[in-house]
Formats: sequence, C-alpha cells, structure tokens
Amino acid sequence: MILLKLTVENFRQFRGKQEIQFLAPSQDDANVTVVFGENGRGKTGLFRAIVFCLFGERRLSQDGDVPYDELQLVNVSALEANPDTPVKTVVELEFSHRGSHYRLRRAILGMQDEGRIIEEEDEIRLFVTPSSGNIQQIPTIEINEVIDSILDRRVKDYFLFDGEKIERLTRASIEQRREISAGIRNLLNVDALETAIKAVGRVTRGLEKELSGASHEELSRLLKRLGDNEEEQARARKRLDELADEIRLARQEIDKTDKELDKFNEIRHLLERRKSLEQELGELEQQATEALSEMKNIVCKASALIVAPTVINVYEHIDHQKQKGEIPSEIRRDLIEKILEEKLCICGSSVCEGSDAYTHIIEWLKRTSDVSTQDAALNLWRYLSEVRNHFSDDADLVEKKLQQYGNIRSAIANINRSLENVSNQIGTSERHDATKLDDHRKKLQDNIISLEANARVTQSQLEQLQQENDRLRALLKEEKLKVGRNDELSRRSILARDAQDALNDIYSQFTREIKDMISESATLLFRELLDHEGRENLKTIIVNEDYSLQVLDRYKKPFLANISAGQRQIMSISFIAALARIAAKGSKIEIPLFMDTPFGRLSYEHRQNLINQVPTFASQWILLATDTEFRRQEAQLLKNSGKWGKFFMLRSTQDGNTEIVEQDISSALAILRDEEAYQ
Amino acid sequence: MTSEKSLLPDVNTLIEDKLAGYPENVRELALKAIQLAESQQSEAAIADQLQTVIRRLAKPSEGDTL
Repeated sequence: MILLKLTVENFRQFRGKQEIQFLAPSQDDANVTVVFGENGRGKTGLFRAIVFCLFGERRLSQDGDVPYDELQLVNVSALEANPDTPVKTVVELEFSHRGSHYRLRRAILGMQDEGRIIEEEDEIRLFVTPSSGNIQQIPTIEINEVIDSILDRRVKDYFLFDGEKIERLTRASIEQRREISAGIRNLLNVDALETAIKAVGRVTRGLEKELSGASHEELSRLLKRLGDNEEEQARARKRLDELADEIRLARQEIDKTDKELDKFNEIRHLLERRKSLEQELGELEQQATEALSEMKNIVCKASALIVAPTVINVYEHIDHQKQKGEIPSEIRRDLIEKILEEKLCICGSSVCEGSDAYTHIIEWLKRTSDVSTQDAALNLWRYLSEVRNHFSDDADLVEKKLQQYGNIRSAIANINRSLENVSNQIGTSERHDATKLDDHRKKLQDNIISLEANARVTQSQLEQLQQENDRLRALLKEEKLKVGRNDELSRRSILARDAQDALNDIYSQFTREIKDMISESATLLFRELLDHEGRENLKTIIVNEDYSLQVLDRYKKPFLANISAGQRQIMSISFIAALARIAAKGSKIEIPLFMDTPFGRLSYEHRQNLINQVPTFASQWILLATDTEFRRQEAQLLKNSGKWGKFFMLRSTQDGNTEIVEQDISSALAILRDEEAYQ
Repeated sequence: MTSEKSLLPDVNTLIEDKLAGYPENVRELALKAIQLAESQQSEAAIADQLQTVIRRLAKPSEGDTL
C-alpha cells in the first residue's frame, strides 16, 4: 500500500475541500513527505482522517477518555455558517497496492439539533482500477474485507501511529497481544497454513474415530486419551477466547461508565487519577505473574536451602573427623581385626589377651570404622563440599527473587490503597448518581482482574495439555506401527496423522524462525537507532511467544521495566521495521509509515538516527511534525539524506480553520526555526 | 470478491523445503492441504477433498510390504 492523495472536505479544522498529494516512492529514491504544523493546527486531524477513511474508526488510541460524542468530525464553522443545512464531511483516500489503484471515499452528514451536533453516516465507496484499466466498484458489504486484506486493522497501529503513544505497543495487555498476534500472522500470510492444519486435523479425527471401533485395545485406549486431550485443549482455547471477549466487553462497559461519570466535572480529576492507577496496577500484576513464573523455576533450589544448615553440619562433622585423622584411619580396621584374631602382630611378636599391646590395639579398633563406611563418608564429604559452595549463590538468587516479588506486591498494595482512597473520594462527592455509577464500575474492574487471573491459569493448563499431547502422539505412532501396517484404515489414519504432525512441525518451526528473524532484525535496527549510552546497556530485543516484546541488558537480563519512554518508542519502531522487513521478505514492504509527532520524547541523537534510518527501511514515510520537534537542524539532516521530497504546512486562517499549503524544501528550511529559538 | 492473499512464493518454497525430509505421500498430502487452504474454501470442504487424496495415497503400491 502506497498512499497517493488525501482529500478532506469540511473535516475537523479543514473547511472546504483541501488535499495533500503524498510523495510516492520514485526512481530518485525520495520517499518522505513532511506535514508541518504548530499544535492544534490539524496534524492529528489528518491522521484521524486516514484512520477514519480506511477503517471507519473515529477514535484513535490517543483519544483516551474523550467521550465519543465529543469526537466530532464535521467542520464546526461550516455548520455554524449554515445552521439549517446538513454539512457533508468527506474524506477520500487514493492509494496503490500491488499494481492496482484504489479510491476510497467515506462521508458523513453533520447537522445541529438544539445546539447539539449530530453526525450520521452518509456513504462509503471503493473503486479499484487494476493494471488492466477497468474500474470496478466494490460492493459496500465487501469494502472492509478488501481494506483488511491490504492493511489488517489489527496491526494498523504498527504502521499508522502517534509517535508518542507507539511505546504503548510494548505494554499491550493479554487480549491486545492476542489480537496483535492474529494480525501479525495474517500480515505474514501464515493463515493458509493454519487452515490446512485444521482441515487435516478434521480428517485425522474422523479416521481415528473409525479406527478406535476396531479391535486394537491399546490403540483404542491411546486414541481415546488423545481425543480427550485435544477436546480439552479446544475447550481451553475456546475459554481463552471467551475470556478475552469478556474482558473486552467489561472494558467497553467501563469506558461507557466513564463517559457518564465524566459529566460530573468536579470529580473528573479523580477519575483520571484512578484510570492511571488502574493502568499501573495492571502492569504490576503482569510483572508479579512473570516474577512468580520465574520463581517456579527456582523452587527446587529453594527447597535445597531448607536443608542447608543440616548439610553444612554434616560436612563440618566429617571434615572435623578427617582433620583428626579418623577418616580415613591411619590403620585399616580389617588389619587390626586380623591381628586380634591371630594374636600376632605384623612385626612377628605375639599379642596376648590382657597384655598392654592387646589393650592398645583394642583402643585403635574403637577409633576406626570399616572401609566402606570410610569411603562413603569421604565421598559424602567431597559431594557436600561442592554442594555447600552453591548454597550462597542459590540463596542470593532466591532472596533476590523473593525481594523482587515482595517489592511488586508491596507496590500493588500501595496502589490498591491509593485506588481505595480515590474511590472513596469519588464516593463521598455527594453525588448519588456518581456513587452508583462508581459502584458499578468497581464491580466491572474487579471482574476484569478475576477474568485476567482466570486467563493466566487457563493458559498454563493449555501448555500442560500440549506437553501431554506430544507424549501421547509419540506413543500412538509406535502403537499404530505395531498393529496395522497391512490394514487399509490404519494406513490412512497413519498417513493423515503424519501429515498433520508434519504441518504442525513446519508451522512451529516457521513461526519460531520468523520470531527469531524479527528479534534479530529488530535488535540490529534498535542498536543503530539508540544513542551511545543505550547501545552500551541494551543488547537484544526478544519477541515472545505471543509477540510481546522484551529487551535484555548487557548481562542478558530482562530490562524492559527500566527503559525510558523514548527508548520504548525506539524499540517499538525497530519491531515495526523488522516486522515490515520480514513480511516483505527482505525488500521494502509496501506499507507506509505514517507517524504523528514522533520526535517529542527523543533526544537529538535518537532523532538524528531515526531521520537517517527510517527512509531506508520504509517504502514511504509520512511525518507529521510540530515546530518544537522539527527544527532547522532536523530538516537539514533530512534534506541531506536525499529522501525528503514534499513539504506541506498547516496554516491558521482568519476564521480559526486550517489551510494546507505546499511549499518547496528550500522554503521549508527558511521557515523552520533553529534550536536556539526554543531556548 | 476473492481475497488476493495467498501464501507468497518464497513461503511456499520454504514449506516445500521443510517437507522434503518427509515421506513422499506425507509431503504430497500436506502440500495438497495447503493448496486447498489457499483457495479460500471452508475447512469442511477441504477435509472432504482430502479424504479422496488420502485414499489414493494410502493404497499399497506393488512390492510395498507395509
């Protein structure tokens, strides 16, 4: 997908019809369009126009708690100029994709009703012109499907994003990660492989059902266990989907309740505070789960520490005996017993019972133990001397983990206290309606916490079932070979199961390889984009099973919780670029990177790196920038890269609207201010 | 309208390479399943067509001592 032209008409700040022709990648290699405007001039309006046109969505992730009915798209001054006439608001986007030209048009009608602005959907049209040249109008019902096949809405935030919020990708919740994972699989085109696995699985189950009716007892038993296991797995997966849906619905209900609560202006600041505390709580709960999971892995070490004092006592006791020369004894016990039995010393003199020599030898006998006991004691001494050296490392590790977990729990307790305090303040605001709504909201929030815990348990059960499934499959394969190579039904069943296993193996290898490739590619770019200090400390980006991200520091320890918002932003951009590279199989992917104010949180070195790198990996970069982040220094850097081809300025008009003015690059450099101007 | 999405050529090559280590009949069945999945048919329709392929591939060939 390459964006060609955006036309807006009476949309937000843009009165009348205005357009931007983006720079499409060309032979001279330039691929960057900059749209420059001060705050409030409509940069995010243009971003909103594209998201609205493509997906029909009015709300952007950065809108947060803004009530839905406050998100008006119609240009208010056009409406006020003609109060009795509906105003048509239109966004039209032209783009190319795989050789075809697309023109997507979405319109709404805005009107006033007793001072309120009402907006109604008016039309949506999509025209496609393939390279053959015949224009085709896509039926309305199919438009979303077509757009999703070009840019899946679940991953749109990866390519069309608000620069300052992009770092949120590294904090996605469980259900967001599931959505993102589905979107990425779609983007990477592995969904056909998934369908093939399901279809072969269906055939396999049918054949195995037939086979279990045959007279092979062990085979029937294994097939039944495998069938039960797969049913349980399907139930667990379904439950996870249901839980994700329930969580999503509860969140929507909370948003709705918040909109109602927002009407109570006097408690608005408390509501905002609560929302931010809840977000923090969610992140801490996630960290607590991760810490608990790490602790599970060191439980065996912790149990060894319980017996550490006893182990050390035993070691010291044997060591003491060893130092005294009792272990090993100077004279072997079997030799002393032989002397006493034969009453003859090794020197040849006789040893009579009752003599001094006899009494002396008896004393020796008492101080010695038999050879096997001595050997065992020595082996134990050697083993314990090794084991006790590890106790202190293990104890440090266990203590560190417990402390970490304790700190997280204590932070959770603090946040819960603050939450209770804020909720009490909301409750005592003498607004009966607000209190009632707030109680409803609290129940919803409690429900979300319980649903999320449930989802984590179900996920862990699913992993155990998968392990059991692997074991049963191996047993089944052996059993099938034993019982029925000459039987037609068995041959078909074995073949279907083998094909299913082959596809599953390929699928897991394939996705693992893709994740490794994304990790590797993201890490390379991350390190190029980071400043010197960041490069010293942050070494590797890891893509987890569910496509969530982690970063390892120079000691190969997880470090995500400690990196800055700017570094998170750089990390997310690196991940997006890697994803784009993999999806495009090494060449440039035909998806634009549309960034709204991406430099705000970045240091100059980070900005410099981004300006040099992004145009090389993105096929098209559309940069919406404000005056404090896109100064003459940044513009000069971009110009020097040879990638910058178009510049649009959003200028305020006398009636408070915005006009889009195209200017050449040299004029842009003259308009933009130096860093000193902001000091 | 049929979606233009399909397993891209090099992804197919990658899959074919990985299937090379499997017996001929397993490879043929797996590739047929992917090919049918790409044609956007339902899972049940694909499974029906695979039954026929399995019957053919599971027949013992001459000299096969299985």
